[in-house]
Amino acid sequence: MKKSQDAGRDKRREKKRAEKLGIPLPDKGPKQVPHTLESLREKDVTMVEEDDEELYQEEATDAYASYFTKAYEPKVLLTCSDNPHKKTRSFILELCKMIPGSKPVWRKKTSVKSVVKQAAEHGYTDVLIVNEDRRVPNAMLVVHLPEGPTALFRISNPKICKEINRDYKDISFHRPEVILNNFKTRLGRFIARMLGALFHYDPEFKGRRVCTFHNQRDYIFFRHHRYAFKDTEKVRLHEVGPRFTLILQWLQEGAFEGDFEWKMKSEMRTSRRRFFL
Amino acid sequence: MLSDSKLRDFNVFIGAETGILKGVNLNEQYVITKNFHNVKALDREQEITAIAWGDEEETEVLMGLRNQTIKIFDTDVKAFVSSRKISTGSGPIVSIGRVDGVTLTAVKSGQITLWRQSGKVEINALGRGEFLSRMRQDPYSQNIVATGGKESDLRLWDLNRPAVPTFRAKNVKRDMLDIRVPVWVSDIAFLNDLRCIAVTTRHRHIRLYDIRQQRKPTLSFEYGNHANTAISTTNTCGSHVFVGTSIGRMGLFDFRGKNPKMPLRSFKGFAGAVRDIVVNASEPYVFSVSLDRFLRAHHIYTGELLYKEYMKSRLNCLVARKKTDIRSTLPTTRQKIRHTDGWEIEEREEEEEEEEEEEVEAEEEMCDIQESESLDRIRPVTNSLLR
Repeated sequence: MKKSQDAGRDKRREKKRAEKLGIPLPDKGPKQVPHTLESLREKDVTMVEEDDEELYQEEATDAYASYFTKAYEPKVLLTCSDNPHKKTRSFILELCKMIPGSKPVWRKKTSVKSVVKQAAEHGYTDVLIVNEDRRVPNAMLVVHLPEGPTALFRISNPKICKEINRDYKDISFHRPEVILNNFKTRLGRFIARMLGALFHYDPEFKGRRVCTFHNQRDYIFFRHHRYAFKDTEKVRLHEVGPRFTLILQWLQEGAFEGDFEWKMKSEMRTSRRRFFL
Repeated sequence: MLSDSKLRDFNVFIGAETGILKGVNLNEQYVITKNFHNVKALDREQEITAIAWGDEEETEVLMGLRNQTIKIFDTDVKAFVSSRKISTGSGPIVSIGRVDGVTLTAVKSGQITLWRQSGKVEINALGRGEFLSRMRQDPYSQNIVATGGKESDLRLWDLNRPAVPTFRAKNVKRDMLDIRVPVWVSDIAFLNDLRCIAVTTRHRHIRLYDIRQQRKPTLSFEYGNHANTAISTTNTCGSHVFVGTSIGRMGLFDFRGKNPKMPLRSFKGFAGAVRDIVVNASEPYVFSVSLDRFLRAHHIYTGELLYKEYMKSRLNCLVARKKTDIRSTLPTTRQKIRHTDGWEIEEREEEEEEEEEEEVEAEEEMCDIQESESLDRIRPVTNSLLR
């Protein structure tokens, strides 16, 4: 506090002095951009480059390739842990409203493997299991069904519509657009595809709904807005719907079985400037 | 500067899930990686699921693919020499090998076939199991083969007598709840005392079988909380073994130690499952390939991660040359090289000779069996490097 006060005072003094004497202020060079944790981020070898043939080939043949070729419409099954409390129930119902083609089912002590198996039999393409701890949703397991990858996310700061003074009834039935921001590494790109594939590939722009997954420092912020363009440059955003943050814990190939493609371990936190997504 | 031929010699070959064969050339000055495939022509069915050297001189790399094709890559010519489709059973080729120049394949549904011109020899290795996970050839006698899979315990087969296994392992005792312990063999390793076989399972076990003594494992313990995926022996110590897990841990175990359950050393740095481990025969380095798209080289005894290379695709399996003078050549500080066809090279700036002395001391402490070969290798880098 004191440092910035001194700096401000010095600046004002210099300016006054320069005005008095009629000399121009000394040029201190171009304005320096302050360092942030993002700008000082450790260089990551796995950052995706633009024209990477191998990457495109892998994406053309991986588990989500058929989504991007519009071969199927995603059908999502939403469950939570047994005996959910009020907030988790509302969370699930709002997620259902938000994700087109989703259905909530109450899970009565069925094991995850059983849920996955039954969902596959009933033709679902993805399963979302929200875990609850201390009456609040704290984790989300995303399983892509036909033997697809599984990811566990930790949910932090979940807010249902009521907590941000909104009405869940404002969420219309139009299919939303999905924005995936700032997923730079190979792992990040895969996770982005995974999250994007939960939503229908054909958004209804008429509905002006947007779901944003914004990655910053490995925290994926989820926001749900309705937008209106005032003119070509300015947009008005009206936040609707649930708000939460996801942190990736692990990514497993296989529907809740198989080897782990990535697992967060404490030894991987070598520095504050190292991020994985 | 190295001569042109040395430049193009690859020490390590890796098979990826996308079907690409990658060659890595580690030498003192730079590191080169190369994709040997035309990437666009590949699909998931051409995933390389098994890889092996074709012969003792390491001039041929055999690859087994998911769609039951065998491809052969010639390392001198640096080109794919032949491709051959086989059809036995179902499922991808799980392991591949050579017996007197004849190809030996193992398929997931349990058929092990020796493709002789005169008539193929086939073994049904599955028994009552669900599928076959691994087949390994005994490095000391080519005709003997070990197999294991899901609910199919370790079996040893002699290719001259394909009808009946020469050794069938027995399961351990029931656990304290009187429940049968499930079996899912993920990898097998032959120890160099010619009577012991080490096995890892996806139910967290590491087991040691003494063939001449009994059918049950002489040693069986659990490692970690997750499935074990790969195992490999070191060539110097007959009782040392590397085990990799599905969350990305690798441990060095000593079966003859006081407490074999505790790994001598844990190897860190992996973010994903360890898929394949190969120990360099002449140097104390262990190469590992994992699902998080990295090739890693650790020092066996100090546990230090010496080298890590991003390979872009998920990696399945690898082979490494036996005799490579890599110690003095593993780059410690090096400039990054990425290349596909052009041989763009950046030289590294300094060599660190101090490290070599420290490594020697660590070795002497760790391994009981003194190998004089490894000590002789500390010499300044000469021109006659690879092979």
